[in-house]
Parts: sequence; C-alpha cells; structure tokens
Amino acid sequence: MKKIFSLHTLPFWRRLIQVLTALAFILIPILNLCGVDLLHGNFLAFRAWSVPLGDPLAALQVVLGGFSATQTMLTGAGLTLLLALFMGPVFCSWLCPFGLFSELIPKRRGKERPGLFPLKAAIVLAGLMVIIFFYPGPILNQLSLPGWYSRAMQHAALYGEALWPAALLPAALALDALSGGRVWCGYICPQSVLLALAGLILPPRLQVRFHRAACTCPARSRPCLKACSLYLNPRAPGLEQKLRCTNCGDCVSACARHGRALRLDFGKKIR
Amino acid sequence: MGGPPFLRPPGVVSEEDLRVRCISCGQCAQVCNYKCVRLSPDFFLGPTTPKIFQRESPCFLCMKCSAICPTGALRDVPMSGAGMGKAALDKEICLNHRRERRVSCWTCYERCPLKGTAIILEKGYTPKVMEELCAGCGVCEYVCPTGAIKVTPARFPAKKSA
Repeated sequence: MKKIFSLHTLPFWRRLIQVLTALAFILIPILNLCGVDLLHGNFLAFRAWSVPLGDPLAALQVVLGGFSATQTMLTGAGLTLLLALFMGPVFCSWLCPFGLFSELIPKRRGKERPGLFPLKAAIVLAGLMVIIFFYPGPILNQLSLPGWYSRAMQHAALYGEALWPAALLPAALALDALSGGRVWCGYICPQSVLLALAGLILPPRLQVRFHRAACTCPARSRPCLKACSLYLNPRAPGLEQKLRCTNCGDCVSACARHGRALRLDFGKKIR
Repeated sequence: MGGPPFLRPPGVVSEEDLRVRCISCGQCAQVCNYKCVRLSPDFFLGPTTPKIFQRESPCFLCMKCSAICPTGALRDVPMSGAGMGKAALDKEICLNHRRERRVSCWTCYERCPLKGTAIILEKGYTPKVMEELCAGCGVCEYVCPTGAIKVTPARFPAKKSA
C-alpha cells in the first residue's frame, strides 16, 4: 500500500498547501463581508484570531522610517522570522501565491543559473537607505507580489473593482515566462531576503542535504537538477545554495526514485 | 489635493506618521462594521492607505479599525478621541436656525455617534457643534438634508505642535 505521506507525495502536498493558501486569501475578505471575523489582513500583516503574523521586511521598514514599533507588529514579524529560523524560507515555496503561479510556468531545460542573491540584498539595502534618508514610507512593500495578490483580492471583495497596481503581478509573470521562470523570485523579490538571512542563523535548521556516496545518478542525468524550479544544483551545497533554496523538496522527491542521496532534514547524520 | 473630500479613520496619526506606519495590510477596511473604510492607492504604485469618503459612507465610530491596526497607524483610542476632523455648522443653511420652513430637523443631532456631547440642542431646538468634543466622523455631513454641516479633516491643519 502506498504511503500518503512520503517523499514521493511531497510535491502533491506542497502544491495542495500552495493552492489552499492562494484560495484562502480570496475567501478571507469574502468571509469578512459575511460577518466571519476570525481572520484579517494580507501577506503584509495578518491576524488569525488574535495571533498576529507579518512580513518582517514590512516591520523593518516601519521601524526604520519612524524609529517606532508596536508590540503586535514585532510579534507578527518575529513569528514569521522564527519559522524561517528553523525551516528556512519555506514561505516562498509552500505558501506564497506568486511562487505557485511562477512555478506553473514551464521551466526551460537547463542548467543551473548563477546565484544573484547579492542583487536581491542590494535592492533591499537600497530601499532601506531611501527610507532612512529620503522617503520614510514602506516602499519595498510595493514590490511584494504576494502582498499585491492579497491586496487585489481584498479590493475585489470589498469594492467589487480591480486594484490596478496589482498589474505588477501579471507583469512579473510575463517576465518569468519570457525568461524560463523564477526570475522575480530568484533575482528581485525583496521579501525573501530577510527570510533567507534568518535561515542562516541556526546551523541545524531544515535544509536539503546531499550524501555524495549514496548518489547513483550519472553526471549527465540529474533528476534533482531538473526538478528544481529555481535552477539550483542540489548536489552542490554551500552558502549560495543555503540562501537561495526554499526547501520545496522537489529535488528530494525526485531523488527518492533513485539513490535517496538528497534528504530534507534538520541535520541528522545520513546513514 | 484633488478628488472628493475624505477623512482618515479614527485614531489616525498625523499624515506624515501615516505615511511611515501604514503598510497597506487592509485590516482596518476588512474589520469595519459599516464598510466605510476605503483603501485606495495614493499615487502610482503607492500605498493603499485607508480613507473615509464621508459623503458616500461616513464613519459610525465602531472603533474596530483603530483597535486592529498592527502598526499603530491607527491608535486604539476612545470614540471621543477619534480626531478625524471637526464639523462646522452653517447657520445660514441649517433648517432649524433659519426657522423659515417651519420644520424641525435635528437629523445631525439624532444621528451623531456622540449625540448630546459633540452636537447639542440649544434651547432644545437649534443644533450646535461642540468643536472640542467633535470626533469628525462625518455622519452629520452625510445626513444633513441641506448640506449645512461640513467636516474639515484633521489631516489639513494636522501639523500639531509637539
């Protein structure tokens, strides 16, 4: 009997969670209109019952812009960072609706792409400098595509009209389609930077680990490389890999049909 | 600033602080009982800050928005401290002040969320806005049949001395 929860079914469960999250942010504003007031907000700040959750970058911008913070905001951002601390940037691969749309764009055959995490970090740094010295408003939120997705859904439910700046979302998808996918996520998205950096703090956090001795694939055939939507090479671990990998588990699932050389775990010794 | 007049929700900080603190999470609009808080971009790709167009749908001071705001852009204040603006009554237009048509209106007094505090009836007949106690919610402007009351948003003279 096949196991429901196994490495083989991991991509299915991940896709299901992504779809349910995307649907949830369509349903929440509608439920609010119907008087169900348990969940509020969008991907920039959210409240489930009385538990706040928030985008750490949004909170950081408010802190730097006004040198002040509320307990709710810090708690929300802290909880999100805590998740990233132990699980890495799983938000990007398991929850982000733009990540879902972006992954549906067919990947170009190919090789790994050069890592440009410093570009994303530079975008964040430039934005924070602008906030500190020129315009003290959370301007980097305008580059949050999950933010625009959920804001557009709020707008549609509340006012029955489109939020035209959310056109940034299809524009980014078009960019992805032209380039073979994941350009925004890989090179631009500022929201993922703090999550990725938080993932560096704890050495035993959840991550893909490669056990070279167990790898049975020849150099030319690399199912793990084909499976990775971010064009990473899971067999070449390192800092860049740790910063860019979102722990989606696709490579681990692909490897499970071969030598099981890739594991997604908290750093237990492999074999 | 062009466009129809609008207020900010109750408990709002100054316009400068709002620009810093509002992260466009939209919780204020989602939680509003009367769906009067409107989110709209301030400029091209700008933040969607909360606005209340009092002539379309005024604020009834349920104060849920100010209680839920995660960043403190809207402070959790009592109704009397909403600080959205100040209402001003034009006695030349108010039906009760003119006593011309032999009508007794009192709509503003009856509908004011701070009835008897922010709007009182002088001699039991003519409405008077108590400026210091007015929250500026815009209900009076919305209900006045002759347009005798207008609310000046607090964001215009907003620059408070420290």
